[in-house]
Amino acid sequence: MRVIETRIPNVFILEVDGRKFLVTRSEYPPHYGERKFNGFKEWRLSRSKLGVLVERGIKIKIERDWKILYLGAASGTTVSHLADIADRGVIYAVEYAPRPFIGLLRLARERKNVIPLLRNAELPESYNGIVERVDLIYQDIAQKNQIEIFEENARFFLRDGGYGIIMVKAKSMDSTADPRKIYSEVMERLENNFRIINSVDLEPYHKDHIAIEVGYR
Amino acid sequence: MKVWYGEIKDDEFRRKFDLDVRNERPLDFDLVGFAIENSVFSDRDEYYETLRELAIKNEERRMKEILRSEDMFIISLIRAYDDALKCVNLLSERLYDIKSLGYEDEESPPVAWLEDRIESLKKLRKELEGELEEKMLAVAPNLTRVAGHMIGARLIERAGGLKRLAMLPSSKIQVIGAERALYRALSRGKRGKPPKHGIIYQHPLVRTLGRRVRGKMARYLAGKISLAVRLDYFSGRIDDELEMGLKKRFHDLKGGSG
Ligand SMILES: C[S@@+](CC[C@H](N)C(=O)[O-])C[C@H]1O[C@@H](n2cnc3c(N)ncnc32)[C@H](O)[C@@H]1O
Repeated sequence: MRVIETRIPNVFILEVDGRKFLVTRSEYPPHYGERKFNGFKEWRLSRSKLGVLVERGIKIKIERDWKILYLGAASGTTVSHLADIADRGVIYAVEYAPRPFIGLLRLARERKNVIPLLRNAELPESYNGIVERVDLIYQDIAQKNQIEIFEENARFFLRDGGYGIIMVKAKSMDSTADPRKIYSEVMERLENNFRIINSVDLEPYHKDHIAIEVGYR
Repeated sequence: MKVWYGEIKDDEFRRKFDLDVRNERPLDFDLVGFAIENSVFSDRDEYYETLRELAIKNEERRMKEILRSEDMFIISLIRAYDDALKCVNLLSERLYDIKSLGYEDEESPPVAWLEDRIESLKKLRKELEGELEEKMLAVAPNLTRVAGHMIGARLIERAGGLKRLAMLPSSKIQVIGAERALYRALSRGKRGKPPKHGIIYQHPLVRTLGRRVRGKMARYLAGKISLAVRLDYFSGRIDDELEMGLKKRFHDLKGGSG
């Protein structure tokens, strides 16, 4: 077994019997059926868009002591790896659907750095007074008005110079238009308040999805 | 202003833990620093540990409230659907009576009125069913995949909620909706045949099988439904394999029954 470092803390590439796995360093049990290799957990790219972004070696930055606001946490698949990465930080995980929230609660009971919030990301005022200013807002909510939602949450919670990762699903913005056209409209809108750092196509793992990285002012 | 660990009023701070906050404007102070300065917590570790524990407790309570009200909503929907169906049937019968007396709508406005309302009730039924399907997929995705949204909703309705359905053994699930038949069988003593026609006998994979293997399929389906409901109630994870096993069993039985 060979362990190769990546540019992100607590994230490694593992070579096991000639096969490569993206993994996070973790003492915790599997959360969504991912494989465990002593002291590491497989980060399944088909289940997590952030995983694909990290695997592509894109220059994203996440630090161990970061405060993170995660919008659209679902049952905590990606949050579980982020919690491994930001092991000295805090993740505020917002999800509004009660079903997947069951899984998120299970994760939060296990991890000291995950704070689960059953709230609607469209109403940041309903968690303003719980969530502090953060270093990163990560958004994966697949909603038509998600950019507006991101802007509002940034206004409430993103520190100056903070960082954003937005997952955009073309189909949920407009089910008929050309994805490329949608993406460029989204970028244009984001440029009003943010600096675009990068945008990455998530094919073939996540069809018609891109990830956009932005900096705040 | 209310934050999760207290209230700030006229520069005065009162400590009180409550996650039900609402502040329309971004805060202009450091939420964590302020709490420690005011000795609400001795350090950051204590701050986050307290918040996390409170959040788990508070959000779990709210989650359960939402889930509870959602399956009750499903029960109301399926009942409204049945009510609409009943109305359609009653009015159609009456319309038939009137028409068989020789009246047509040119000469009798009530005929046209009735036809019109029956149509709109049929539309209502379709709309309710659409809503029901959406709610079922959200509240009980595994049950919906295995049993379908109508049968699934009827099972929830008869059991009195998702939780109660999740607690039933599959032998009980198999006979839900056949209670009257069961009662009759029991009162006839040993010679009464056990009932066979619970709600799940309406399932296409049971209904379309030969009579000799129908019972076997129903027992198998009840087992799958029981697993599906428990998954829905306790974990929320979606298991695609449940549905596949069902089709295989159906084809095996179909082959066997000739
Ligand atoms: C694609 S899933 C997220 C998957 C997750 N990020 C992961 O990788 O593990 C999108 C989630 O966003 C949630 N969502 C959508 N709109 C939301 C809103 N306004 N507020 C909170 N959550 C929302 C949905 O309920 C769903 O669970």
